[in-house]
Amino acid sequence: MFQRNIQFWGEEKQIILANSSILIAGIGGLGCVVADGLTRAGLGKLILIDKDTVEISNLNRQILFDQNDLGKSKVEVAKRKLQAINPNLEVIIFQQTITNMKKQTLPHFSGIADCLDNFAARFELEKVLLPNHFLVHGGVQNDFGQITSIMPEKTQSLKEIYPGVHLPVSVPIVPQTVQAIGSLMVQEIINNLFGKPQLLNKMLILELSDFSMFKVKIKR
Amino acid sequence: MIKIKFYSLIRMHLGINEVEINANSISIEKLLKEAEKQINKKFLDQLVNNNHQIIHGTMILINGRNIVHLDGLNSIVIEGDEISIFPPGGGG
Repeated sequence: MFQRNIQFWGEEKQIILANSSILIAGIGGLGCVVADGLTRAGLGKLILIDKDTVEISNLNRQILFDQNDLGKSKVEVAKRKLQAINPNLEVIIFQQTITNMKKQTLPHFSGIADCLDNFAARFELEKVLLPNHFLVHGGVQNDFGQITSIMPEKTQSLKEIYPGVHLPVSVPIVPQTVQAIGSLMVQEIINNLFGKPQLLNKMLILELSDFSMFKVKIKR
Repeated sequence: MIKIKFYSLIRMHLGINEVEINANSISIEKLLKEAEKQINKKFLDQLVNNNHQIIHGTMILINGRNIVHLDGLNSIVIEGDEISIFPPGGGG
């Protein structure tokens, strides 16, 4: 299945991915793209956390869901669709909020994909981050979004980067924004798994309107 | 010179990527007011509310450090500093 990947990054790195696990918090627009991308990249295990069921308003951007999934648990549908792509993918699901999850109840993971839709939940999420683990944060709105990598003791926390930020949960988002930012998150997660993160202490800002991309330094 | 770089919504509003202000040892608030004069377009009202507080969801960085962790709008900027301003996307 991964022949074309291996042609690019080689057998050794494909094995690294097969032995890696990522906790994806939030299976919305970003979470669907990140889960799909990591599955096709050849990741061995995904842990999916989301309390919601699929709603009609999700279908403009949440690529793992369709009309037949309305009312069903997002994590259950996502698990079925991801394993239809790669039956060898291990998927562990939790249909609850990250605030209700405790560090000790979580299975082992190599890193976290922050695909949540509000900052309060993001600040809770980063509390489960262990030393030497990474979190790739993504956020989207309208036709722009941002990404950064968080590592305890190497970068600021999200709470330090975004002090006092409380934005509305429901923001305007179009499909191409989540697909672009989600794909870039997949790249940075793989960069982290290969030991070469590019966005530590840097915020990547992407604007689709004029195809501009910037890296802004963030100092500790 | 002090460089101010604009990103996302504020960049779209102003129609420019950055502006350079000839200033030294002034507060970030004064610097941004100078920028408004130079650009000839208001934007400070999108960053600061009527109570003189930074609007939640606004990122104003001086050399990569959020002014909330410095002295807020009174944070002093000097020659050679670089300011980045953007509202983060909150959705997922």
